[in-house]
Amino acid sequence: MLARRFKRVNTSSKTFYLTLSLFFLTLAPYLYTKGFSINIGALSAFSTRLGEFSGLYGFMLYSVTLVLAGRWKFIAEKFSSLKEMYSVHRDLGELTLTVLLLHPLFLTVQYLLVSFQSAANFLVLDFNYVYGQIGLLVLVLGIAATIYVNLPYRTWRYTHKVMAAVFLFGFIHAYTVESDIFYSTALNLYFLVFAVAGFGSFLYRSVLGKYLVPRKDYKVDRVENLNSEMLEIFLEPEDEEMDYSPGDAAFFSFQDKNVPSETHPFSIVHREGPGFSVIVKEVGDYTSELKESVREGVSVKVEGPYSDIDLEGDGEVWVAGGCGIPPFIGKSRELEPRDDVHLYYSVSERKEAVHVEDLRRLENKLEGFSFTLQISSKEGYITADDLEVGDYSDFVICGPPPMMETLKEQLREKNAKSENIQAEEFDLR
Amino acid sequence: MVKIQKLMTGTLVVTLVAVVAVLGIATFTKPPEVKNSDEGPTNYTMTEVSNHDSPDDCWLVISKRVYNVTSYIPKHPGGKRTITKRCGTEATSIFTRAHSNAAWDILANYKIGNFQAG
Repeated sequence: MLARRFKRVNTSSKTFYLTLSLFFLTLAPYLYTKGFSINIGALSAFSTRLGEFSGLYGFMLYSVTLVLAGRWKFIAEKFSSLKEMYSVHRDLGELTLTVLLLHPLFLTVQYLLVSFQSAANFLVLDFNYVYGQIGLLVLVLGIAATIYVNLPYRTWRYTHKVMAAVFLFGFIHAYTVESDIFYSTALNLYFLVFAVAGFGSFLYRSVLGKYLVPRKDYKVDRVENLNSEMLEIFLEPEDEEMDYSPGDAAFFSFQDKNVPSETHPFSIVHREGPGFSVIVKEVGDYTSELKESVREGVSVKVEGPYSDIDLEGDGEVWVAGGCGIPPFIGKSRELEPRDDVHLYYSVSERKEAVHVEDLRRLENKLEGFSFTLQISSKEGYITADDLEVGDYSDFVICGPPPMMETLKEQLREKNAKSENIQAEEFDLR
Repeated sequence: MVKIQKLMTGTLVVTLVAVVAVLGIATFTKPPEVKNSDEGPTNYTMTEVSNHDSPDDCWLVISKRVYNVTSYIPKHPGGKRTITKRCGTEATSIFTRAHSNAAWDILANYKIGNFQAG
């Protein structure tokens, strides 16, 4: 009941509810440990309480951020898409750092009241806090690099692993310094549960994933160049086929020494017969290398599927920008003749558009399906005015973030309700 | 969410400024004198210390020095009870095990004399 309601709310609300729940899940045991009586009269006592609480709350947020990164299927199902889960993961990660920065700041006040030397000693020179100091420093550098620098995919993955690993430093810090956890066995065990869930998720996904995460075996059937930047890789099952729906994504790991070995997510494109295809656009190191080296016969480990976007079909307006087209291609092949769907496909140049002939054929074949190709270099960017808003109730937008943000805003101005606009706002890396 | 990112960036900037300011001031100013010298007129025996064994009048013996921590009890990060149950006793072991160098700085301000065995 609660999980169903959670799944229906938008991404910001999900972040808010999770943050609030974790706040109270920290506050309740904290107050219990303090005997529900907190002296906050003096400045030093007040700031110390805030410092203690922010440490515990940051620890809790950190644990749950790692749990989300574990990509557990039963948790991913509580979100409308995998992208949404990762979006909440990113928000919680940023909140974790915010709250953990407040932890030493508030605790420093009591030492500042003694002297600046005492505060400096506490902040950087005290060896007792070395695990906390190193952990926080690595977290600051890792998150700053992730957010403010456009890292290559491989470096981005590496920084994420390091940030997850430094959770251990936070754990050692929390369990060895004169914290509430140190003094209270109940609090000690309570936070241990979250720590084990968080760090366990990291081990499951990043360290032991090769052995523990279930994957299906596929083989590259053929590779087709769609244009100078995009190719379509057709896969057929080697054993049992994965049960997927149009709009799903999966994680792919190509098992060939000439192909980059890391796992990468792609949207699944439905095709007739066994297997499916993925459309890859050259956007970075990994996709460039993949484009150069992937060939027929290469084995592929596939993990998933995960819901990428939620496509109902009937009564929807779909808007694809650039490489956001794959889920719509798959779903359009499954439409019933009377399903009322309009697909708008916006690309910069005509040569960038893929599967246009397929989509035109479907438009002629299916009574309720219409298709519009918009070339932005000639006709300008697609706007809400270009869309037949009319009787359609739901909008699904998939493309570059600036396009999605602008269209969402314009649709809202045209009185479309937020809950009827589905847009994937961040790139699933 | 952009708002969370802005909040994080703001906190990051404030933290950096605060740490640099504290370190800078600490480097270029003279530390205040603290009462941590072993010299002093007052020596207390265990019998005298043990008379101050309540939350309203709480003395502790730590590393051969005597501290009146009554006014610090409400501020203690580890809670009141961890101190009050030890009032009037020798608490060197637990203090050393659980506390940082900075805590010793704070403790120094509560010193009232030295401990005299016997």
